[in-house]
Amino acid sequence: MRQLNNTTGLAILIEDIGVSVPAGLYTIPPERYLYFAASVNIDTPINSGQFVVVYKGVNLNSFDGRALIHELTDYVDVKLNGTVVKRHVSSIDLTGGFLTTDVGSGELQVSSGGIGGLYSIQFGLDKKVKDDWLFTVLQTEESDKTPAIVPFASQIRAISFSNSRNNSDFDLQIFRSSMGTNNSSSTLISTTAVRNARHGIVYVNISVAAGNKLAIFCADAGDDPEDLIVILYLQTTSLVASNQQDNDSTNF
Amino acid sequence: MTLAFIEEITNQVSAVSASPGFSWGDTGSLNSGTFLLNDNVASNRTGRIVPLQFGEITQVFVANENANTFTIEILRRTGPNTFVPLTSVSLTAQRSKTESKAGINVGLGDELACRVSAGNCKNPVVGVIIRGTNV
Repeated sequence: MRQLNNTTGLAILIEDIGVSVPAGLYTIPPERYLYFAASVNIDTPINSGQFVVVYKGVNLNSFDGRALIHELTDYVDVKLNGTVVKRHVSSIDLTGGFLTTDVGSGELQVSSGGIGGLYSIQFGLDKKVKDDWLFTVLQTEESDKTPAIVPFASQIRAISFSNSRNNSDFDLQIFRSSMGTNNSSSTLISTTAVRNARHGIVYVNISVAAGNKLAIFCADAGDDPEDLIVILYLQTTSLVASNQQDNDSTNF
Repeated sequence: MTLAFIEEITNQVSAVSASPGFSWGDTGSLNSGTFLLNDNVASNRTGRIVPLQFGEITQVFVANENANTFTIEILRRTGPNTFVPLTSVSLTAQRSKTESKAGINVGLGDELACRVSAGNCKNPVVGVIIRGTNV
């Protein structure tokens, strides 16, 4: 049941649909949901607090209230051991990162940033770069020795690069090794030729699996870049997960 | 005898109802102040145009689903959110009512709207008969 609580004490006419909402609690007739969804004039009283949208007895804030009215959305409750721990007014809520394992069978469920969600992995090297492995986060170690780990099966969708020198020439090479295999048997999965550029982004479509180890090598191709930062943007394709470790001592 | 004959002829000639007719309706429970729809358009936004000259509303007929107490008002829309009330029909614990009117003049091009002006009703249907002269 969708209701409007008219807090003004006076009836308010929603002008573009001709509906007069009386003071107090008003139940929207189900057969008029589409009229309300199409209404533009209903936003002003919701935004100003004159109307409080009430759904299943719960007062919604203006953002969720408008979503409920216009998008005909419904609540999606995420339960942990039977208890509602997160309530979304729509099935997509990019502001409320949340993770629970309350589904058994080793499959992770996320309520946002799930399948289709984007995340990034960063690499960099704080010096002039020439035939060097880029470092992983925090500049602690070269990525051939300490690679980045892919958490979920994903597609690398974009590669951005930025450095402090103009007219740089280099080849960005992405190497991959699978968890449990010898790093020295890593394979080259992508080469991006950068010529006469300081910044840029390329869009790719490269599959990587959960547990893959990634490293980036910057091959010399002319004028060397300096203070190079490379960011991989990945899109999650599957949330099926199983814990895995290895103890391989070789480098890429 | 002659006068009666003339009146009968007059009524037959001038008792014209606009086609497809002046009617309004809406679904669900409606509160006071809610405008009825004409062909899915809220009548406060766009009303029905009177296509007759020297028109006069002679009857208003109202029905709704349950025995309710409410008032239906017919208005002339003169601009955005501006209306001139023309006539009304009040029902008291009734499903339907037909009421004759006199002296409710409407002109060619008038835009008519309809709303619940008091009480509550459910799934109402309203119609009016306008007598006038074809242009």
